[in-house]
Amino acid sequence: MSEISILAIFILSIALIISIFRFITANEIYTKILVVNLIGTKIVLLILLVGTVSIEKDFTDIALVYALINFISTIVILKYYEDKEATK
Amino acid sequence: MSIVTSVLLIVGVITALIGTMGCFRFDNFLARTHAVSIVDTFSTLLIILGLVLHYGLSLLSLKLLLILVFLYITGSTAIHALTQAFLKHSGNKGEIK
Repeated sequence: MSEISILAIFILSIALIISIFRFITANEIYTKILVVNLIGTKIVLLILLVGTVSIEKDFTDIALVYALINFISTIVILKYYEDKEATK
Repeated sequence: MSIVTSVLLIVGVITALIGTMGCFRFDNFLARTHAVSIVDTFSTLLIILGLVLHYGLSLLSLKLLLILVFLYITGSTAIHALTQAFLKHSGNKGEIK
């Protein structure tokens, strides 16, 4: 049961590290916000996969809350930079 | 864990890896949103479907389906808002060069 989950967690962690490098090397702000959204989605999936390995069963609630916060943060950061661009 | 769940999880995770690689390969912002949207929709669908099959009929599966519906709505909305802001402020009319 847990071997497949651990393999999936490993591959997803590699994808997460690669996307963090993409965040560092991006030079325009829209790509950075896009990659932040991508990292948040993948962290939600990672929390769900860790919940299958662990004994605790409360990881699903944490993933739900993380998905909510991820959406709010993306929209708010986008609105901040859009307002900054409009006043420039 | 059954064979169906294992296949769904591994294919979903590999799809997430491919979407991340597409974020590197494409040199245009609008093409990059396409690659990221695949992670938001297809990979999420496969992984959550595999976990629902693993947990069976319970309250956990209901919460997982709730996360799936929520991620579908919010992920698409966030990328749509991002693309609209890009088209509004960059002077690009949407052509991919």
